[in-house]
Order: sequence, then structure tokens, then C-alpha cells
Amino acid sequence: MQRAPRLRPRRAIWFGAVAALLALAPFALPPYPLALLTLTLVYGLFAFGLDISWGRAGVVSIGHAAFFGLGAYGWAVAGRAGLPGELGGVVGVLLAVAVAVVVGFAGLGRRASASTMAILTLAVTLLFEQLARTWSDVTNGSNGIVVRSRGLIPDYYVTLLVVLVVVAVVWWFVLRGRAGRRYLAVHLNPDRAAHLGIDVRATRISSFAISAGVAALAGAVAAPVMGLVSPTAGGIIMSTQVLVWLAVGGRGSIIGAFAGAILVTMGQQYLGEAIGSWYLLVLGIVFVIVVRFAPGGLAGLVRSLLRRPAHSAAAQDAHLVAAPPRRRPKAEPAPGASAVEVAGIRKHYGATSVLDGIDLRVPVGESLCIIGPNGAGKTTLLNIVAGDIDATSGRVLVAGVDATKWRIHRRARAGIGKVFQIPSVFTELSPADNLALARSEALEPRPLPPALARFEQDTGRAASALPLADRRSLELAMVLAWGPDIVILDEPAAGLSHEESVALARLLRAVASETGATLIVIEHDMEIVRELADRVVVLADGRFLAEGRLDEIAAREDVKRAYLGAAT
Amino acid sequence: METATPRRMMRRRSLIATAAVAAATLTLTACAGGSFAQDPSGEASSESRAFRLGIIAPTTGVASLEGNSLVAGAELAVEAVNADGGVLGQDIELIVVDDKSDAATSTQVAQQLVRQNEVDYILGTIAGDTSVAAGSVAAEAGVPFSTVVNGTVEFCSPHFWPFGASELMMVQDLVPLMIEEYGPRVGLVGNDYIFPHTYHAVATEQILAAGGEVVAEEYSPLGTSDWQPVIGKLQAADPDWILNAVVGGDAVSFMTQASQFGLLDGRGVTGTASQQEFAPALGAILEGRKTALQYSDQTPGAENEAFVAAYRAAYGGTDSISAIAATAYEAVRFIAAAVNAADSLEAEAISAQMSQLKLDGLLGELGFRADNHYVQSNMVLVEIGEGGVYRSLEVLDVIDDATPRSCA
Amino acid sequence: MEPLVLFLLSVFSAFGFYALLAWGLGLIFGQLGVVNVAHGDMAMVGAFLMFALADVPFLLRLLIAAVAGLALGILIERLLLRGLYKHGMLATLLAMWGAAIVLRQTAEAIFGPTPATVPPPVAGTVEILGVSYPSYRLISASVALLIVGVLVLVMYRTDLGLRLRASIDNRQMAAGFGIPTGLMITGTFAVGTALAVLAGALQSPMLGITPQVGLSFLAPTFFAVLLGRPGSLGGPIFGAFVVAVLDIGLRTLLPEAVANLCFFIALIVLIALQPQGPNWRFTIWKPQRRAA
Repeated sequence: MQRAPRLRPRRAIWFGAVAALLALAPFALPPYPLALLTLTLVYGLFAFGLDISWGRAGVVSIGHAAFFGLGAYGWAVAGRAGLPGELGGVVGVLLAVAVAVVVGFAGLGRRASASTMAILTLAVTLLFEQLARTWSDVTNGSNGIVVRSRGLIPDYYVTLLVVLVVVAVVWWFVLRGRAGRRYLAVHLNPDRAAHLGIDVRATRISSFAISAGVAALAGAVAAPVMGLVSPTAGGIIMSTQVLVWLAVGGRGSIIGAFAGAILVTMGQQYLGEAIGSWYLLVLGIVFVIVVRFAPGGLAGLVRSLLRRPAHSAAAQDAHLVAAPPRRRPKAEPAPGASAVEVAGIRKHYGATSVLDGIDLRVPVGESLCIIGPNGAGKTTLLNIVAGDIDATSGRVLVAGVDATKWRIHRRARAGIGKVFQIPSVFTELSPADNLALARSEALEPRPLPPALARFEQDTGRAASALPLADRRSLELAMVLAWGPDIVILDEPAAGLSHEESVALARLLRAVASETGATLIVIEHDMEIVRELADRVVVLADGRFLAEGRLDEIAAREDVKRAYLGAAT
Repeated sequence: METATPRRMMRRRSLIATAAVAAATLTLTACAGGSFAQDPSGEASSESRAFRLGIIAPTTGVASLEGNSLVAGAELAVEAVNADGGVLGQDIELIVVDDKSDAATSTQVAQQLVRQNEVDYILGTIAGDTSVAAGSVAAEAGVPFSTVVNGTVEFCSPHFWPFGASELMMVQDLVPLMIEEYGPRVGLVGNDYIFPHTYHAVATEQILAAGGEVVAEEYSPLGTSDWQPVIGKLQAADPDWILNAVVGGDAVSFMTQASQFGLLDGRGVTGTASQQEFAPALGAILEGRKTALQYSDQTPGAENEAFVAAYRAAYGGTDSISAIAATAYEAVRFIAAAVNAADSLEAEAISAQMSQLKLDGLLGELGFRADNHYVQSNMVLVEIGEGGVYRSLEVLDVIDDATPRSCA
Repeated sequence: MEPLVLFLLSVFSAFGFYALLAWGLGLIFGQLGVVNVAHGDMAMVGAFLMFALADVPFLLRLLIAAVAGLALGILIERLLLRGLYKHGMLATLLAMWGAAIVLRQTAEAIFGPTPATVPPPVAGTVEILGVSYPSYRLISASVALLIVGVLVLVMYRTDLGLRLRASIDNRQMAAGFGIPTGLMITGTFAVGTALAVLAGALQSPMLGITPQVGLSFLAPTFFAVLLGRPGSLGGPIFGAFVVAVLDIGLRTLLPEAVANLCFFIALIVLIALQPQGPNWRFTIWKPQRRAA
């Protein structure tokens, strides 16, 4: 497939036009509006920084001004100590990134929820403001540190230059690159992202760290423009201001971040002049209306005005068109090792035991079907193999290597692809984009079987518009295009008609024989099992009851009893 | 399912939209001349134009009460001065801007006043950091600048004339009085920012000089709602009297809770929480207590009564008139007198007069020290009576604050 | 002995206040997922109500405050939040931020920025083990904890509580059972708001009431909810206790500014270690068995 260029000429023209327009501003604007514009450019960069984390990767931060403050104080403290401000700014940025990484590790673990990051970042900004106030030897306390300005016009051009460079660099290397795709995946569907081999936690932390770095850089640039750096620059009020800018401007778009900052800051200024103390109340009401009726902010409004379809906007800036994967050397499994092996797996939730000692070896290339009555623990077992759940005890080996402690993405990287019980795709994106995203993380790019190839051209709608069966097919296409060695399928025929089920089974069989992949399938439909399985195991009451070929198993009394109950 | 819009249509739409946004942005930022055309150092011929006074005050935001007082007092004074012949034969041109108690905004509006409005003098703001921000801009532009709030601003320049009482003025006569009446053991309480720390540092010097000792010292963050731990520490230290530097809502909550815990029984208490604006809320807690104020609207005297009458006539209300309003009033009168005496709008000439001039008024004999630019005025010792009556006990002698400070 | 008694009494007093605030926030934030940054300002509304109705008997004022809180909650939920749940945390957070601005500015327009006070209904101190402690503090904390206790009982022991918990847990399923889920969610938000207003009203005799007074309550309340595992109904109470002990303890032992720093650091560490809070099964009773 042809690689589309990362940068279309139209974009470059736009960027150049905006840059030129802004560069001409000092010729058109009187001093005060120019000073205001300088400040709003810096604020826009700050909002852009927050957007990288919240708008694109979905990492919540209500205390982002702490990083802004770190950059600003870095510059100011250096100036106060007689050192060049740039040095202090760099130190501030590095410190911000370090703090962000620590906070990220604390708040973005597997057990944490979105509210954890919200409260954690709130605590960080409050801590920063208090520290800035108390450590007056360094920060001069509540009076703040005076920062010399270079002069109105030089300040403006330096600020403009930094903003343009940072936005361009971040856009090119981060948002258009692999990181941007990963942020998108993690934001839209972290489960599916993990099963495509993306380390969700590391991706989130990296987005947060970059976001903190950009915010700190904005702070460092802001110091001479603000004239004075005081604790409020990194406190709760500034943190909520940047949220307002992002809300008004719209998340997930570069223009939105800057537009929001400019609109709100200038609006506050002129509204204050016009109606005095009432402006805060009016602002509050206007703000409420904006959030209520235009949750996508200004960018969302413009998008709907331009009738740009939601699914192409959902991709934000990520470069999805036939993005090439990074080729990873695939570890060859140890000779004689099974594709998947589980030993002594037990799982209980409190007093309820779900799996009670499971041993299973699945040789490479086998198509195994797991059957059994409801509640037997089949899905749990598969989830344990894939890494979604931890076993209470026991071991999981993938390609002969002990994978018990591995998280989902690492097991995925070892070759496990998973098709969920309820199809898990990126519903906001178009099917073609879904496939492109899957391919960009592929272990080994593979062509799609003809039955599934139709999705590659499907760019006109969001995946959520697909009927259930098609969504499952899309998911299967994504997984197959991703190139797994082992495919885990949890009831792939659920909800399909009989003809569709059989077609699916034949498709799976064909894929397995062509690629040599190992299949582990949970199924209830015996026709499919017959069509697909090399071997069948029966799971009942948390234990393996029987294994063998379907005909042998179907004849056994204990299997029948497990399915139908004792009486028959 | 969406129908695919032709690419060209979309592109044209985006072009139009962006052009519209660009045009709107430019008009929003008021194009008229451009910044290159403006020459901040050059001045139009300054002989024939009126004296321009710029006021930076937080009329909105956290310090809006104080900010609005500042503007009220200043505007009243401008009216009075204009009625009395104005400055250099013309009415004062007053420009008021809002800094929202935000240092970045202070810098911006100060720049605006200096570059765009070309003011001859700047008066304002309220908080320490905004004052330093505005002051730095003024100093760099060579424009005279004055503040009216109590407490030393950590800043000075050749044209900086702060009218607010310094910490020394606030405590110098009060401390020996309190030690004599209540005893030598003192507990210090304040909010955790620069002013209370400076206030208590100066007070400590005075306490030690008067033979007292500091037995407790606590600074709580602004917005503390539960004072029990501080009160507990104060009770354990058992001072004879308490000096407080708490402000705003904290002043009321601290005093109320201290009284509830019985901390104030049989002990003296004075400080910023005894100011007039808190009397309606604190009521009986302040009864019988003394404090030193730069201004009280109940000080007897024809001039003060006239001012109060004029203030009430202009703004109505029954709340006590704050020291900030009175200081702003006096500041404008003083500045006007200085400009008239200098017979020029040049900063050098004005400052020369500011350092020499003496003016009698609401703050007593008002003047400045030439070396460190500290203000000299008469503090007033008051006793708070029933119903929030601030009875003036004694007009204290002018306190000469010789604290070294470089204003070059 | 005395310092210990003083410490315990003060922890009790702070615990009562934070428990009432945190439980209300637990309903709104923990159950409905709304980051209610206006929670402190709702307490401010309660305090101002007590000031505004100064001539009315104290108990009646509290009742009026509770009712007003319910009304405010219903108003905000219906007007603001109704259509925003599906847009996620940022949308609801910002909506509540806007509501907070409106509340603060309205209070400033009506009452002005000068601090106000409310006289306590019971003045004077009480002697407990040699320590003289203001009686009203103990009374208000007791009342607050009583209210929380009653509400927890309602949630777990009554049909109404059961329906409420069902609606929050699985809205569609509960709707399928005929439970009016929209009403339940509005009700939950209203109760949460009413509790905040009531907390502010109870605390008003101790406060210097300004439009900004609510801001300082936000952080400890959110910490309390997060420490107690958001989503659990008993959790905020545990969290409030931890916050009270930390707050009073640190400030009794250390100078104020240092204590404040350590408070935030301790909370950051606690949150980092236990993002889901302890698995607190305190409020899970055995279900009542009805005769078949």
C-alpha cells in the first residue's frame, strides 16, 4: 500500500500563512493589544501543552499550572541569581518532566481511575503554590520575583518564534508520529490498544510528561512577558483558567487551544472594561452556556459548521493512512515449546472459586476449542491467558517463556491477538482508520483475506455505525492484519446467523492453515466447533472435564450431565 | 451515513472560515497605528496638556473591596482638586484600569497606561505582588508611582512614593502600650505571606526593645477555616496579649474561634483584625480593645467630618470608610500639590517636590523622607467601643521610619 | 493528658465537618462521576443563608438551609448537568466550575465582600477531662455525624436506598425494573448538594463568611472522597477521618506552613499507594431475609 506523505502541502501553506500573519501583528497593533497578544500566545502554548495530555491521550489534569509555574519560576529564579533565564527555563522544563513522570506512575497504574489523576494533580498544584509561598528564600514568597522584559517588540517575536517552533516540532514528531497514533488508540479504547501491543501506562505517562514539558516551556517564555512570577502563576486559579481555555477552544485541535486562550483572555479584558464588576458573573454564565451547548468548544462548532464528519475529526492529528509498523525482530519460540501453556491455574474472587486447577498445552498451529456450560470459567481462563486478569495462582507460558507476570501489551507483543466477546474496536474512527491503526502496530503485516478486505476502503462512516456482525468482522480483520501467532477468540459467532457462523469458521480455518497461527476459541455452536477444531476441551465448574475430538466428547455421559444438569 | 462532501467545497469553506476568523481577530485587537509607530520615550509637548493620573486597582477579583475603596477615595479627591483650580490650571485627567489582583495583568495595564495613555503618574495597586509588578513597569518608564496600602512594598525607585503606613508606624507606639497594659509575653499570629512576616519581624524588634518576649509565632495559609491548632499552641504558650496580622475572612474566623475557645479572656489582642471593616462582624469581641490606625472615619475634626460627609454623599452606604479610601484621597491631593509646586509634568521635578512637600489633612502631617521614601504621617490610637464606635484616644506623634532602603 | 484530649476533641470536630461534606461529595463525585468543584461554594451558600436569616431560630434556619440545598441541587442538575453526563468528566467539571463562579459572584453581589458572622446557638465551653472546649463545636460535629449515619442507614436498609443504589450502579437495568432513574440521579445530586449546604450552615458560627470561604474546603473534601475509594458509600467517612487526623495532627505538631506542605505530600503519597482505597466492607450488611 502506498505511503501517504506525513505532510500535505496544504498544511504547510496554512502554517506559513498563520505565521506570516502573526509576524505582521506589530505593524498593525498598538502596544497594549500587542502585549496582550503576546501573553495570549503564551497562554495558548500552555493550553496546547495540556491538550497533548487531556485532549489526545485522555489523561486528566486539573493542576497543570504547577508545571507552568515550574518553568516560570525556573526563568525567574535564574535571573534573580544572575544566571541566564534560558538556563533556568531548561531546568524548569526538566523538573516538570520529572515531576510529571513521578505523578504519572503514581496516578496511572492499572488500579487507578480517572478521578485519581484529577485529585492527584489538584494536590500537586496546591502543593506547588504553598511551596512557592513558603520557600521565600528562593522564590521571594508571595511578592514574587520581578523579571525584566526585553522590550515589547522583541518579547513578541521571541514568544512567537518559540510558539511556532514548539508547535511545529511537537506536531511533526509527536502528534504525527507513532506517539500520536498511540495516544489516539489509548484514548479511544485502551483495552483494544493494549491488545495491539501498546503499553497503555507508558503511553499515558509519556503524553503527560511531554504535556508537562510544553507547559513548563510556556511558563519559561511567559516569565518576561508577565513581568512578575508569583505563586499564583502555578496555583489552582491558573490551573482552572487553562481548563476554561481548552473547554472554550475545543480539545484535540491545535487551533482550538490557541483560539480558546485568545478568546477568553481578550474577552475577559474587554468585557471587564465594558461592564465592570459584573463581568465575572456574565463570564460564568456564558461559560456555563458554552459547556452545556457546545461541549466540543469552538473547534467543535467550526467543525459542525464546516460539516466535517465526526469520524475524521476523531482521528485528530494522528497520521493513520497506511502507517508503517516498526519492524520488530520476532523471537523464535523454543523448539518443542507449546504456543500457549498454562499450569495449575486457579482463580477465585473472595470465596467464589472460578477456576480450580487448570493445566493445558496448546501446540503451535493447533486450533483448539474450549466448550462448556455457562459459568464454567471459559472467558476467565482466556482472560488470564491474554493478561486481562491475574490468576490467583499458577503459571502462564507463551512460546515457552513464563509470561505470568507480563502485562497485556507484552503478551500481545509475544504474539497473542484477542477477539473480544463484545467487539472492541475504535468506534469513533472509520473502519479503514481502524485497520490502519492496527497495521501500524503490527507484529508482522499480513494481507487480509478477501472476505474481510472490504473494510480497507470504508472511510465514509464511523465504526459505531456498523451492525454488530460487521463490527466483529472488523475486529477480526484488525487482529488478523496485525499478524498474531496466537489468536484467542471469545465466542466469535455469537449473534451471527448460521450461514455467517459457518463462513466465519471456514475463514478462520483458512487463516490458520495459511499462516500457521494457533487458535484458541470459546464456542457454543457445535457446527462451528466441528468445522474448526483440531481438538476440543470441555470446561465445567472450573475444571477440565474431557478432551479429544468432538464426536468422542459429545458421546460422554459426564459432559452431557455438565451441560444439561443431573436429571437427564 | 454521511455523504462525502466534495473536497473542493470543504477547502473553500475552510478558507472562508479562516479568513473570517483572521479578520475578526484583527478587528478585535483594534488596529490603529501599530506598535512600531508608537514611540514610548517621546512625549508630546507637555506644557499645554492636562495632568494625567492613571489608577491601577483591582476593581474585580479577590481584592475588589479594597480596590473599589481606592478608586472611590481617589475620584472624590480628583473632584475636590478640580473644583479647587485643578493642576497647572487644568482639570486632572483620570484613567482607571483593573488589574484583577493578578500580577501579569498588572504588568499589562501598567504598560498600557505608560505607552498608550502616556500618564504622568500612576497610583495603585493593592496586593504586594501586583504593586511590585506595576512599580517595576513605572520605574523602567520613568513614571512616578505611588501605593496607598499599609505595609512596605519590597521595591523602591527614584520616583516611588508609597503613602501607606509602614509596619514600624503600625506597631511602634502600640507595642509599648500593650506591654504596659497587659504584660511582656506576646503571641504572634498571621497569615502566611510576606506582609505578616514583615509586620511581625518589625513588631518583634519593638517587643524586645520594650522588654517583652515572643512566646509563640504562627503563620497560617490564607483561607484557613479551622484555627484550633493555632489557638491550642497559643493557649499552651500562655501569652499576655496577642498581636495578629490576619486579613480578610481569616481575621473574622480567627477572632471568633479564639473568643469561643476563651483564648481572649483576660488577654489583650490587637492588630489588623481590629480594623474598622471587621467591627460589624466581630462586635463584642473587639469591645474595649485598642489599636493604632492610619485613619479612622470617626476621628473628630472639621476636615475629616467634611470628607466623611462628601464620601457619604457621593457613595452612600453606612459601612465605615476604609483607610485605603482616605489614603487615596490624601495621595491625590498631595500629588496634585506637588505637581503644582513643581510647575511641570516632568518626573524629576515632581519627585523633587514629593520629597519636600508637607501637607496637612486626613492623615495628619503628611510628608516623605527623602532618603528612603518612607511616608511620615500621624497614626491614631483608637479604642473600640460598643456598637463599633472607634473612639479616637490620641493622635500619635509622627513616626519617623529610618529603615535603610535604597531608592536610587 | 490534656494535649491528647484537646487533639481528640479537635479531630472529632473536624471529622464531623469533613464527613458531612465528603459524604455529600461522595454521592456526587463517587457515585455520579461529577467532579463537583462547586461543592465548597455550596457550603458557602449554607453559611450565608444562616447569616441572612439571622432572626429565625437556629434549628429552623438549618431546616431551611437543607431544603434550599435540595432546591439548588435540583436546579443545577436539571439545568446544567442533564445533557452533559455523556460528554465525560471535563464537561461536567467545567459546568460545575461555571456554576461555582455564578454562586460566588451572586453571593458577592448580594452580601458584598466584607466578612460576616453568625452567632452560635449555644455559647460557652464545656469541661472535658480538664480541657475547656467550645460546646457548639462538639454539638455541630455530633449533629453532622448523626446526619451521615442516618443517611447511610437509609441507603442500606430502606427500599428507597436500594433503588437509589441500583440506579447509580446500572442505570439501564434499574430503568428496566421501573425505577425512575432520572429522578434518582437528580435526587442523588440534590441530596449531595443539600448536605454541603447543611455542612456550611452548621459550621457558620465558626467561620468568617465571605464569598471565597468555600474554596478552602474543596481540597480536603476531594482527598477524603478519593482516600475512601470513590464509588463506595462508606468510603468518604473513612477518608474524612484520615483527613481530619492528618490535618489536625500535622498542624498540632508542626508549624502551620510546614504542616500544610506535609499534608499535601502525605495525601499525594496515600493516593499514589492506594488509588482504590482500602477494601472496606464495613457498610455491607447481610441482606434482610423476608419470609418467602
